[in-house]
Amino acid sequence: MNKEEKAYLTGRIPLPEWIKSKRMVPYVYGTYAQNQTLPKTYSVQMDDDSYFLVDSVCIAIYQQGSPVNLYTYYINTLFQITDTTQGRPWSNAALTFGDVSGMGVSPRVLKEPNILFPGTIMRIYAVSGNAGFNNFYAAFFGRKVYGLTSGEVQFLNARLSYQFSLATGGMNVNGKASFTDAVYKDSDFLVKRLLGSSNYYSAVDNLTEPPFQNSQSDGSTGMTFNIFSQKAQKYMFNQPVPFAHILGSYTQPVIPWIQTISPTYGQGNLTFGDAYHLKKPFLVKAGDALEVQAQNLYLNPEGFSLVLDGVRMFQ
Amino acid sequence: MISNIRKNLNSFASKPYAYSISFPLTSGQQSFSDTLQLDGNSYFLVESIQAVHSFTQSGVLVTENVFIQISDTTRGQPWSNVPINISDLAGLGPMPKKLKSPTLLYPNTVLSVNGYRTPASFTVTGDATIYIVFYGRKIESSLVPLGLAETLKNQMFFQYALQVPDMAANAVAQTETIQLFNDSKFYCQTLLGSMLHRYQSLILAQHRITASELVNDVLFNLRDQGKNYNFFNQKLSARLVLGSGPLPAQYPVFLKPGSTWFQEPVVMERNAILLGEFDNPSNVSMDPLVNTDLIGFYPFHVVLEGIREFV
Repeated sequence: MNKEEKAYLTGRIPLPEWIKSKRMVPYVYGTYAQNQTLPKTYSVQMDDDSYFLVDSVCIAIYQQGSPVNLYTYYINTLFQITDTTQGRPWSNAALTFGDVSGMGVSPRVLKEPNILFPGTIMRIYAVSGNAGFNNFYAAFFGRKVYGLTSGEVQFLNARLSYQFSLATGGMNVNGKASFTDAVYKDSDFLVKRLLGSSNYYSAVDNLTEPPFQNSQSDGSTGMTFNIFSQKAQKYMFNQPVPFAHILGSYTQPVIPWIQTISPTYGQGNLTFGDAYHLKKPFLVKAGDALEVQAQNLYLNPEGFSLVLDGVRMFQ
Repeated sequence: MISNIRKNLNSFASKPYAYSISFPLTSGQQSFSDTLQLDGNSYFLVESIQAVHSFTQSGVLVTENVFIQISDTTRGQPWSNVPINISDLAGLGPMPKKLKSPTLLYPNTVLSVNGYRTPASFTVTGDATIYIVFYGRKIESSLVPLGLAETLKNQMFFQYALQVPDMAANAVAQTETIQLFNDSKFYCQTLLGSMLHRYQSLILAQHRITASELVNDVLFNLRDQGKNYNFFNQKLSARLVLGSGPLPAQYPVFLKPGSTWFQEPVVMERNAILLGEFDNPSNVSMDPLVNTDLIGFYPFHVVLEGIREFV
């Protein structure tokens, strides 16, 4: 194995240089469905003539009819992507809108593009805690790739862009929560980005105030967390940090009084952000267990959730 | 094949610089135009375009819009096929528009800026000023070999705008075409459509809430007819595939505007015909003669941004 191959397999480079010698054609696969009750699984099938490198993910959803509280809606509406190339989901659980995807103005760009076989079916499972009819839209930006050998495909498939979600469940005033989950035994996981959009949604939802204000009386400013690797016996941060300092979101709630004052702003009332990009990735070895230690000064019925965005490495 | 302009010029000493131009507009003034001459001692590499429409009224729903077309005498070419909406053309300080491929301008180049506001009957009536800034690098003209400058002159930042057809409620398969120039190839890197975003987020939401109408996303696909190439596998939501620059302050829709982009550009040959096919699956008309809510949003464009290469 040469240096570049090793760099690819260990998640240090997005793609090997040799792929530039292949014929690549930019392309977008997507789907949509209107007036849908959830849960439902939507499918997009890749063409048979080419492989497909998925570069970015965009999903939009909204509810038809009378407006619902946007934050309640978005915190309860979750997505999970699976493809038939690897037969694996792209996350360990269904995730909120702002974690799993962006939209046209701020797409979730995969740091490590996923390669899909010709004819692959991508499935997007959508579930919502809200009753009613929904419009669902999805688009996957990427590149059709021609002329890959089976060995090259096998090599590219030794990695998978992946998201690992950890959640504490509801927390009381001054609540402390420790939540541990084991990562997969078949792969190391290199964490590159941190997301936690549901925290922003819930903070705003509970209190109708921005999540960063000091006068808050819910879990927004008072909430801190740290992540502990049981196998490596080390913390990600030197001490617990406020979630608003570290966690990103591809879509963020705007100030909520807009929602109350002007129904004009109802649909699509989300501003756009980005993930928090770690300057140096955090390696979680296969079989490790991650412990999230969160503390909340105030009532936080939705609890705290965290999405580790990175790459699974199977070799 | 397009050159990496930054890489070609990185070895030459340069200094950051900005050229600006502004247009004070009186109430009701629709069109504006002026020129800006660059210094004679240096090349200028345009790396970023910022623009703002600053108006005097407050507390009102600003419905007017600004469209701008720039041209330069380095190539004697415009930077777009039609005037481009200010939110698609440029960024702002906290949300800068960085050109994925910068454009080299010769010493003494004259930039011409022409624009208009949406018709007076559609606008707020206050005075306004349009500010435009071109950020980049000055490179002393004696440093750059003429041959290299000539080579780099063969490519430029460009935007092709395809106008979305006026669509009745629930209209499907409405088409519009544009033909690319016959002197240059086009490498499409980004798709933009700020007014479609604004329409989708505000007007459709208003209809949905106040009128309880059925609203759905505008759907479309693009096709390079000569190459038999569709950009997408099917018509997709405009909000998912189009980016946007900053929108007026009353619309805090985007904190971090940006855009989708193709990791590999879509290459379109000279004279290529680009076909856009659109659906309006809502019970809301997108014809401004029928739906006056479209004031200030019209015309809708899908903007293909990229590099024009003269070959």
